[in-house]
Amino acid sequence: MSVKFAQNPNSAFRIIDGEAVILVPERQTLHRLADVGLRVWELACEGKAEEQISKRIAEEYEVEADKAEREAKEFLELLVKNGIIIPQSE
Amino acid sequence: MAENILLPRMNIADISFLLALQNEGQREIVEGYLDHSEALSGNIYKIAFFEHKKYFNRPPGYEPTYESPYYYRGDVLVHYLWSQTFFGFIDLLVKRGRFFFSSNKELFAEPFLRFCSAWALFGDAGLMFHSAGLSLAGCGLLFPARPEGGKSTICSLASGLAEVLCDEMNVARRRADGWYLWGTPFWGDADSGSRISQGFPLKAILFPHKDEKFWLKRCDGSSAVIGILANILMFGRSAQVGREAFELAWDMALNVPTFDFGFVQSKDLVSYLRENLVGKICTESQ
Repeated sequence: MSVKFAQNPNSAFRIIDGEAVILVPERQTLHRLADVGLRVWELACEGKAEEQISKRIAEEYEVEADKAEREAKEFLELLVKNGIIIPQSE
Repeated sequence: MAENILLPRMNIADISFLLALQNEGQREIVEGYLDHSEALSGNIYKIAFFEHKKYFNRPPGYEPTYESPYYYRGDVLVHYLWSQTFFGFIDLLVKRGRFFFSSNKELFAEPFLRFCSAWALFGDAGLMFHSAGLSLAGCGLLFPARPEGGKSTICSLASGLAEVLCDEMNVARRRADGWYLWGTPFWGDADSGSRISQGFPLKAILFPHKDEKFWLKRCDGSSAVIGILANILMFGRSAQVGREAFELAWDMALNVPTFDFGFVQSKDLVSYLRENLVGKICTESQ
């Protein structure tokens, strides 16, 4: 079963000029996302599963499925590690 | 318009709560109380604070090395670790002063009061910045920077040519008609500065960079917000404060032009700003 995600409910964000600035208050950190990273984060916040996200990235950015799957997975792990998104249990 | 923006907003509840937040996530709690104040001469007041540090419920492995007083708060055993009084002198007319901590004045006294002021300001759309503040032709200019970032240098170069609001901490507050800038009593290395307590319309935010020539470069939106947040006092001390500061910083970035500012250590600094910035962005307010 592919993992689904959600936005960290404590975080705050704004998007300006195609970039997102995300505050994770409990860690006192700010993050800046753009381009594909921003899109991955948006899809994760919509509650999409890992497989759905990598598929959408492959379609929208015209990259190979294997590469999209591998890089989306790595980036999602990074977002989770930094408290920007949280994995959802079924 | 003169306005005393700091002292009326401080009260004991704010101070106590604030200090508890300073050690959030640890088990140490510091509480402070305004002990007394007395007029000395003219506008000079002496203000004394009492503060003490406590341990709530000893953490595993912790054993006091001396017998310390204790009391119960509900079921919680609270130990006093130490207590001390510190004091300072403040000139209420000029709104600047110095506070002293008998054993290590750098450790606690001034940060304590800065935090008190910053905390009180958050509730009124106000942000306290590590920054230099100038008023040039009636336009407030804010230079947010970390230590050694050029704050005192900029104020020194502007001395006598512009109104120096403060070389260490300045306050920006949002009002119905825009953002305004004030100095604070918390000065850095500058020997002299403004006696003005008036707020000036905040017309530009400039992130200083020491360089070999003068230059200005407009910041993009997200860079502006990150630069603003990085220099707000107390940002990140709690989730609540962080979110409030985040929203205010966005408002500021959207409504006040923001620049990276390269500068040379030269008295030409003010004339450069006058010709390349103030003359353009302050036209509407003149």
